[in-house]
Amino acid sequence: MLCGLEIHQRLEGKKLFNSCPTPLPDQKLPENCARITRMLNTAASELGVIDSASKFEHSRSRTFEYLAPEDFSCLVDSDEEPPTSINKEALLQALKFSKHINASIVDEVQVMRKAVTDGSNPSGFQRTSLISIGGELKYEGGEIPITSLCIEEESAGIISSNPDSVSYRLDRMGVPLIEISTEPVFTSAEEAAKGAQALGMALRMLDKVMRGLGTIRQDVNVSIPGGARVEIKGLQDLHLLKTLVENEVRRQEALAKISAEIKKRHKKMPTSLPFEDAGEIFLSTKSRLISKALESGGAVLAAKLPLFAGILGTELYSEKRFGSELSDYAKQAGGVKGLIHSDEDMQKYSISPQEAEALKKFLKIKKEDAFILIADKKERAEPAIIAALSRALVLCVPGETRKADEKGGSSFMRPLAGAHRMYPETDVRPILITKELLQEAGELVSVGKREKELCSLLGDDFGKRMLRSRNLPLFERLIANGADAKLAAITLEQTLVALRREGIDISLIGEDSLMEIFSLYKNEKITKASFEPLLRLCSGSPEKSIASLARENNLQKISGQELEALWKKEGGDMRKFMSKYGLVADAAEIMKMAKKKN
Amino acid sequence: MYSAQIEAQLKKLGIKIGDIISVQKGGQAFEGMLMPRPDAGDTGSLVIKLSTGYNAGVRMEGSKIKKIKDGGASFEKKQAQKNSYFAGEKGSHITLLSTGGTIASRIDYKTGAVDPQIDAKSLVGAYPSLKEFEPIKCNSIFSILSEDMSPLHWEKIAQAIKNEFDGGAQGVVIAHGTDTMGYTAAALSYSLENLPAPVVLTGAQRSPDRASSDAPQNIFCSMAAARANFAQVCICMHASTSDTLNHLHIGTRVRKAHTSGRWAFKSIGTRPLGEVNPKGGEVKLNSSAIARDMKRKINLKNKFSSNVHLAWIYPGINSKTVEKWAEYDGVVLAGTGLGHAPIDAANPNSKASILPALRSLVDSGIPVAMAPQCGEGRVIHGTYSTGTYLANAGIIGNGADWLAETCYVKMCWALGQEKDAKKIKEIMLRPMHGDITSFSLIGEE
Repeated sequence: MLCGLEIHQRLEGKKLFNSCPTPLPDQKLPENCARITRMLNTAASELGVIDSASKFEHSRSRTFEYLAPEDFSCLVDSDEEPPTSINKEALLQALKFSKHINASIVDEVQVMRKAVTDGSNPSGFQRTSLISIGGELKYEGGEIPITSLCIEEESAGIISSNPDSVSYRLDRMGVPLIEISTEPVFTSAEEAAKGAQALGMALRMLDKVMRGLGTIRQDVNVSIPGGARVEIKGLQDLHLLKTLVENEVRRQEALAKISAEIKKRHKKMPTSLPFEDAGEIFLSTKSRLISKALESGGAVLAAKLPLFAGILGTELYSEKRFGSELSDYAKQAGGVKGLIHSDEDMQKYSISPQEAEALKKFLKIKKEDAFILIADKKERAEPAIIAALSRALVLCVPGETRKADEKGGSSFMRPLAGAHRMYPETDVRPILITKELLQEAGELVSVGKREKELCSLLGDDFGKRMLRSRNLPLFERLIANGADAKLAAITLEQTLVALRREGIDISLIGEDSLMEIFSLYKNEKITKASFEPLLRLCSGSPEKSIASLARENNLQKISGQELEALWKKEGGDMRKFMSKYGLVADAAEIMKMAKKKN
Repeated sequence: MYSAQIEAQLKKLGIKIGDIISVQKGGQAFEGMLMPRPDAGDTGSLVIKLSTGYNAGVRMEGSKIKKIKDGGASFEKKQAQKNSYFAGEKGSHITLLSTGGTIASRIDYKTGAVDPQIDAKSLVGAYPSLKEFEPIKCNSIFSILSEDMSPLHWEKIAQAIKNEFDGGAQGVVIAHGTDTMGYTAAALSYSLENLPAPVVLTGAQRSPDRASSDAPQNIFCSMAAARANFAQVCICMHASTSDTLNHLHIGTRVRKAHTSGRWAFKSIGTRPLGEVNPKGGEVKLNSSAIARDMKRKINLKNKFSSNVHLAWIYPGINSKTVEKWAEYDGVVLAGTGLGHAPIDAANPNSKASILPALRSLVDSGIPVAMAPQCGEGRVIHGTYSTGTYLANAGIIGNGADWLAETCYVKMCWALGQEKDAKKIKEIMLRPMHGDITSFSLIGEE
């Protein structure tokens, strides 16, 4: 078994081909979004061929609805305006990483359109550019050879879907992604998981990396001898990688065996299989699934699979059988809920033994044959059964794009897309990679070096924690701006976390406010102790500056003669004084004063 | 195209466009098909299509190049196609005439240019929903971007349409670039007197090489409109950003009002002539539609002057500028507000006024017409003394709510029909094909 990884990391800032800001990973969708309804056709590649994955999607003829939040989407995202030139900031990040892994960087970046016709890009394509090939990531566990690094647009986020239409949100559309593909070098799922983690950590050393749920995605390529290259998308949880890869290996092994068995049984393989309407058999059926379809004017389509007895029920991996493979194809092609096959218990569907017998007679099924049945609206059932039957006749492991599920399994999405998905983006001029640009990109600090730096600043525990924190870029900007490192780390990782746990909306506390609080502290205008109350106040009135909040709420620092005067006035009781002025006076200064007077 | 130096080097190495080559750079080899280069960018970089489909630009200088496989044949020029096709049985057909523009464009490395050909069979093949409109005849008149259209092109298109109706077409669809489609629609409205059936212009704001192109829906709806029961020149384009409805706009009252959006075309100062549902192609027409009658024969009046000036009035425009217009056969002004120009009404013969210069143009026999530069509304020359002066100087247009571009086209056309200034004025002010309405609609935004 060999497995490779494809890592997609979102970048923050602006979108890749327009100036909209990138939304937060958990951005709420506003209520009054513009709604756009679209259809997509197929379009041929630069070499004049229509990609099979695009053809497949088009045959589903679905309607797409887009919700466009106006603060985070524009006419470029809705495919109504040509793109601007590439986001330089994002390009620099890609160059920086390419340099870090010692890859061969192209001399001229050519922006391409990759056909995507499932509606997730209103244009029908994703803009993508190859930045570099080759190189390797060095990490504690070894080296990961890299195939390529691309920079591309994120797709629109899916909201809901049904067989006839899909709804997407446009705020996510066009967010820059760095895509890194590794060579298929991982020989075990454990190795692959470690590799994914190492790549993820290294990417986090970039300064524009978005953090949070869904901001990094791993696709997995698995191929085994006698199998095929299968790309599995949408793995959210790295812990499931091992199960996912193991299941895929089992699936491909089982499919290879099944193919061999089918070949053995057939002297000559049929090139297509007919299907028939078996509706009359089920006119008074007790099967809810079938009667529901018939009542709404649907059809019950059935087909014989000659010499397939026992094959549909053959297990691929936990709970997935060959029948489920056919069912996946039927679902994708026709939007049906699934299919019923002869290796299943008919009573599960309340199909009576008499009905089952009648169906077998109708299809002329002998004991060495099998059947499949689909009950749904005719316009759905027909493409569904055609797709399932075509899949049954494929005598190898088909190259596929599959979708990971939450249990570590996967299901068929579409045929594996090929080179014919690509077309040059004529709206964006090629970008020359000059020496100056490469220099401007800067050097990435390795994970190990960064860890050492952080540990020396913050101590081992806090340093390691900060390395993995989503606040790392903010932390670095704060200390670059002169903030005290330990205080910045405590504020970001403890004070703000505690406030959030209290239910305070800390997202209202902007970076400007944080910068200001540290600068006021540095200039001795406020004390460390006032950070917590000031941040609390700031979330309530985010439009106000920290300085004015300190002034209005008597949180400005008191020191020197003024403090001494107060100390005298209050009678010199340390505990009393602290409880009254602890937020505005420096504890060390009070101690010093107390010692002096005593 | 590659630089001459690169072309020479490639030739020396026996490498043609389309060959599979390997370019060694640093420790890595970029391996793939050598592609032609678009004009933009660094002509010193080879464009290589990798097996993944990605194109990469690699500088030839300092790289080791090796030919791996011959493959150049696929990029050789194909024989030029015939430009007239039928899909379906011959008989009473709809004709699709192509003039070029985005709707017909696609990168074509075979000829190194944008391929203009629309052939009926591949059109129906690409968009199977068009099958219901068969028989369809396709013909390519020329292939230009619409910003390059001139009155001479309008004459040719009008002639081609007449030929199609004479040849039995039941309706004609014109594929056209969107930039000046409104001008052409107006020109055809004036040229094709006694039209028997619809002439529908359509285009695309997003090119057909992308899956999201508006071209398929616009062509489908235009075909549906070309079969419908009316007999006017109109533009059929998306009604909104969604793929849910197309509008039909009267040829004299339509403007491209957005540079790139699908909904760019708007009826100005009037309601759309009708709408077409892209699901099924149902056409709904309003009461201003004139019924089709295939017995009518077109009276072709397709002569246009190519020497008319369309000028935007702006603060600071001076007499010197106006005087230069004496070289034209006609002038159309897009005036401010109600159709105004800076004439210093308190002192109209002053230096700041362009009235004397305008008056001398009119007096020398050059017809000068006024249209509003505001998006909508009417020229009214009785409200302010500025207007009165302009009207008295002989500026044509008081009361007209024409679009500046329609007024320009009408002037080109009127000069093609008549030489007499009085008659030209009379033609200009005669409401034709909806170009000047008798009253303004309430409720237009």
